[in-house]
Amino acid sequence: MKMKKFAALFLALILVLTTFAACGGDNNSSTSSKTEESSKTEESSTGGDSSAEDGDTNTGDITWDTADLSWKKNTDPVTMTCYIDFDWYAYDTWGNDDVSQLITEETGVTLDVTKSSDLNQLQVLLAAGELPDLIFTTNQVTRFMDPDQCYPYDELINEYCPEFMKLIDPVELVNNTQDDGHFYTLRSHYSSASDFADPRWVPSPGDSGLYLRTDLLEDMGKEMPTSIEEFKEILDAAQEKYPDLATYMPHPTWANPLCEFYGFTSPTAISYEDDKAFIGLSDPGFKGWLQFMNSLVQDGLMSVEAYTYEPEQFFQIVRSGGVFSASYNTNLASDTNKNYYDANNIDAHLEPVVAALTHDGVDEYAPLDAATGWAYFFISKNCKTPDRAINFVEYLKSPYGDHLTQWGIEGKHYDLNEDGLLVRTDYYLDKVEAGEANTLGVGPWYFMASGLGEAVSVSSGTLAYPEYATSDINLLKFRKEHYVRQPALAFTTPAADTDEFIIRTKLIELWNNSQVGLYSAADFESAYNEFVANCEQIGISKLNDFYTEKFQGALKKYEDAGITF
Amino acid sequence: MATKVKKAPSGGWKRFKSQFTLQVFAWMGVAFLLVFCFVPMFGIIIAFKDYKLTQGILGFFTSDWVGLKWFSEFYHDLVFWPTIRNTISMSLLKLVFTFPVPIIFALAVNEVRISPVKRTVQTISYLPHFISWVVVSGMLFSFLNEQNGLLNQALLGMGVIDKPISFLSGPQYFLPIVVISDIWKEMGWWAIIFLAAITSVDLSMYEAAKVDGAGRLKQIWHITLPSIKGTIVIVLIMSIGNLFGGGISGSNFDQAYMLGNVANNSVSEILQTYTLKMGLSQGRFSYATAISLMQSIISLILVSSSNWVSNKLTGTGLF
Repeated sequence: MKMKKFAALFLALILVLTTFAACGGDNNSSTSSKTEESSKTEESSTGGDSSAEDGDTNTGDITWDTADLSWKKNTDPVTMTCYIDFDWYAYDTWGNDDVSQLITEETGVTLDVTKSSDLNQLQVLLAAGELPDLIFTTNQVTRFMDPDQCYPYDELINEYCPEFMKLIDPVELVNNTQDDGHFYTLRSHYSSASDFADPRWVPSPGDSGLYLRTDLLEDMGKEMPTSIEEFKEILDAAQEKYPDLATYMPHPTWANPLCEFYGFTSPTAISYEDDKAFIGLSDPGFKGWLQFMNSLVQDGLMSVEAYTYEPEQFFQIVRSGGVFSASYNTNLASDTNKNYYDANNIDAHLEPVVAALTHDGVDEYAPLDAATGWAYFFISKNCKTPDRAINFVEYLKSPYGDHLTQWGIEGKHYDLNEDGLLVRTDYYLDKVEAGEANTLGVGPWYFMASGLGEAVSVSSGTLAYPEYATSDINLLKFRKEHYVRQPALAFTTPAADTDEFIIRTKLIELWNNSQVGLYSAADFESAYNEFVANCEQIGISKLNDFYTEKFQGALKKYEDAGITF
Repeated sequence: MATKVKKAPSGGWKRFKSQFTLQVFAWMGVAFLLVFCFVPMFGIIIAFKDYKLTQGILGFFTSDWVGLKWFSEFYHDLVFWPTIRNTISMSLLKLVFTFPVPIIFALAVNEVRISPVKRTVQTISYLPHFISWVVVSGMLFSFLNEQNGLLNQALLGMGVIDKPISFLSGPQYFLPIVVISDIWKEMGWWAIIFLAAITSVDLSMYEAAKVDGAGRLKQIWHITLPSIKGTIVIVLIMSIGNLFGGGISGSNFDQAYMLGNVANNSVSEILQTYTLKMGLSQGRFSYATAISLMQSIISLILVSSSNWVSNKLTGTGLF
């Protein structure tokens, strides 16, 4: 009997202790083990025409090839936690692929990776004071540009790797420096003016694209459209001939490419005209685009149900050949044609619209690029080894690190041809064909990647899969011809929790909640007027004044620094 | 032979010692409630403060007091009336339609005389309770979507409709889908409680009623239902107390979050989903706490009033 009591008591205590233990978090997961020194491989120059190697960013005797760069001085094993705030990311483990294994071998750095499963997760970690050592995100970034949350790069560089400062493109420093005089990251995928001028440079494949089924166009005896009006005529004809297909299906969350034909990027992105900046909802082209979308729904050419789908549901319909026209990013055609239509013998073929569709005879196509880069890589104050973190950044930022993370290992994954493009090796292609691309590690660890590095990788797709990738590249090259670069727009984002921040989040919320109603409103004018009144009530004018003030300030900053675009 | 009954020891400590093992388990429950239900309530204070996400837990104490600023902002927010309307209509519809169904179902199952059939029906009816709303929403997509949903395909095939119906994006279909899916998922589970109550009814009353010539329906009306009145009232009070949470059935939040979308947002955005958006998505914790607190206060008023009314009318109540 006594034994039973003891057993019950013991069980109870264990339960209580485990309950309380579960409440406490151990965020001290970053370790700086110095037990053994890993072998260091000589840095090899991989060629290519990056600006650093051209000498643009070499100052004095310091170059990326200097033997005693700080990251090379300490390659003891160290583990840092790393949070990747993208739920679509293909990788969530470090060390299972060629590239991450080589990085660990060369730098001693191992990442304990957590991939976001929910875009709200990072905000909770921030509030709980449990930020991982390294954070790769694009979400509510102004919260992390705070010396209480993250280390300013400039302070770490000055303390642990002063030579790094001399290797960074001065324009990039201006691009990333905040109002408090610090820079908390160097945004990935930045392209300098010389990068942009490089013939291999193309815009990001994340840009939006509009697609039509050319097999059905041919069947109907139609050509690709050159105007919005022609596009609609084609959709009308397609709906009549192929009533079982979704006539036009936009991706539920991706920026709609039709906006660009009306002169703006998206309803919630920032636009500008002369020295005034404003949210896309205030763009002069917004109403015209909205009216066109409304006409598509009213004429039965687009179902608003597409906006209720999860991205996987959109892909499932497109990949099964269930659409006549669709929109998404710029590699929808190559991916779908190669991996789904041809692989499954589906008699279908998608091609992008490579034209500036006019509306009412007006050409307003001018894709806007803030040209300051894409994602942010922060070093949180929880990081116990900030010296190793900033040295890791220095390694990744080097042309070698850039090529390694974006192109792979030279000789093993690729060779460069005389045009500076990547010729993929048999080893690489065999892995891809066998569905084992994840063992290569090419792409995911691009925390400090350059825009040119990505562009070369994308452009080289035509060498490996010319029959599929050429149409994508043609679209990207066409976009490049029309690109407008305006870095000052990157400085208009309001700081977290300010009035303007709240207005912006409320406007985005209003747009998300209202867009389908506006697309499907039988009385468009009255629905639109009500929407505009609601925007005013939230404070859209105040937000636009703020954008303009910040935009003009940024323009002056670039002017003072002698930087022109 | 008289059995000697062990008398409970007098005196608090002695009594406690004699119940020591049971007490440990009871206190574990109390500790659980304290840690997970009461201590976090301290966070309510940020509804009255200008708390910022980056301030961490310390910010609960150090941030500035702002009084009722967030309550006022929510009241003037464009979404205030729509979300209140949606929350109330969704909750009331679910209460009206889903509360009686398990009772009727329990009465019907109780009348089944073939035991294997009765057990099979019970098992099949409560199994959906264990399916998560995530899975249910996936099933509903497969059944109802416009492009290749089974229902649309069937209706088109039979010539009932000539173009697919937008069940998932039409705001007019949201509430019916919520109520029907909720009944399907939770009816069998809650019927178990009422079936348990029915088994405790004195069988001699049925025999007496039969002698008096009462048929099955009369027996249900005059014996079964009055006998389980207490259980019905208690479950009803609990439902009203948790009205905004979803009553006795499926969580309003789960349903609104999983079945709601940008197309039916005008009817699917409820207080809880809006709280999530403002809190976790936008990082406005103070504002989200204020919205959530408003909902809790209304729920407290509802449960107190329904308990009071029940005590007055039936003499039965929770407290």
